[in-house]
Amino acid sequence: MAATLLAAFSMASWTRAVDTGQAGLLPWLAQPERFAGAEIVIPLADVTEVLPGGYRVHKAGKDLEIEADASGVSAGQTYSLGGTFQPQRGVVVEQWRELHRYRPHKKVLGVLGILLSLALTGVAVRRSSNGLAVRDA
Amino acid sequence: MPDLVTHLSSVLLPGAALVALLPEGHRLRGTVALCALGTVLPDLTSRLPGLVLEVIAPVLFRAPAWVGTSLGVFHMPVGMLCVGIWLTALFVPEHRRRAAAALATGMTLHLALDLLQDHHGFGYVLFWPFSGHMVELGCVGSEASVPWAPLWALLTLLAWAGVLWRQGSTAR
Repeated sequence: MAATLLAAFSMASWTRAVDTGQAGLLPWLAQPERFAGAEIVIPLADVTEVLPGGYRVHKAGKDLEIEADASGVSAGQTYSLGGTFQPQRGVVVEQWRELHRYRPHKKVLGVLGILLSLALTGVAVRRSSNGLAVRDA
Repeated sequence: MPDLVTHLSSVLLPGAALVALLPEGHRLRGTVALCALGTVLPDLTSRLPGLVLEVIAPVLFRAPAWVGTSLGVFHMPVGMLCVGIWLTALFVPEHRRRAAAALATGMTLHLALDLLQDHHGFGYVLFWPFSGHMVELGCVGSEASVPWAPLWALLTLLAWAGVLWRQGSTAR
């Protein structure tokens, strides 16, 4: 009960802090006036669309427009990027970007890890009459 | 986060050595496996539900953004503590201490490996709900583990094959 209350409080307070720009990866989106012209970093953002004069990325549930020379950029790639935030135009003007070329491989390893975890569950625990038991213990 | 295969290997590889070398090592196999599950729990509880919701969004419904945001708590120590308590409560009373220790060790190791990475200053929140400050050591890139993962997986597989073969021949 106490753990559930603690989790509920932490989840609610974290969501509120992210929405109001007090915490999280994109505080400048919640407080655009304060961050106008500021240098910002967007780590590990997935490109969803290449646009004329830039591209669009998806990060932390938001779609963000990046103004840049988009040569070499294609949808599905993952970049970390830095730039200046221009709230009047609703864009980030890119200054640098770094391609995460191993991201697709990492996703495959993630799926493999999930499957291995399912198999490990059978090795780790067994059911007994009044709950789970650690195997071999 | 390093990839999940590396996270699993970070427990299963030294775990194989423990099982092989300790006198009653064979009685630790379940505990080592539970500890390995602990190393993937932070990602499974915080990120997997969000990915599943994204996949089903075009077919069923689009979950509000706050759902994914709120689940991020389960990658923080406070959320890991709650998950550990919930899971430990599922065990029979005489195994709860062992389960809690295994899960806590696994989740702590997960966080330790994650903290080694570099995300351009955007690390991991360790002190929520007291502070949203992000921490990272920035020693390795966020995908640095990927090229090495097949090697770790192979070594882990060989180590456990050796352990099981040795314990099987001892039993005969």
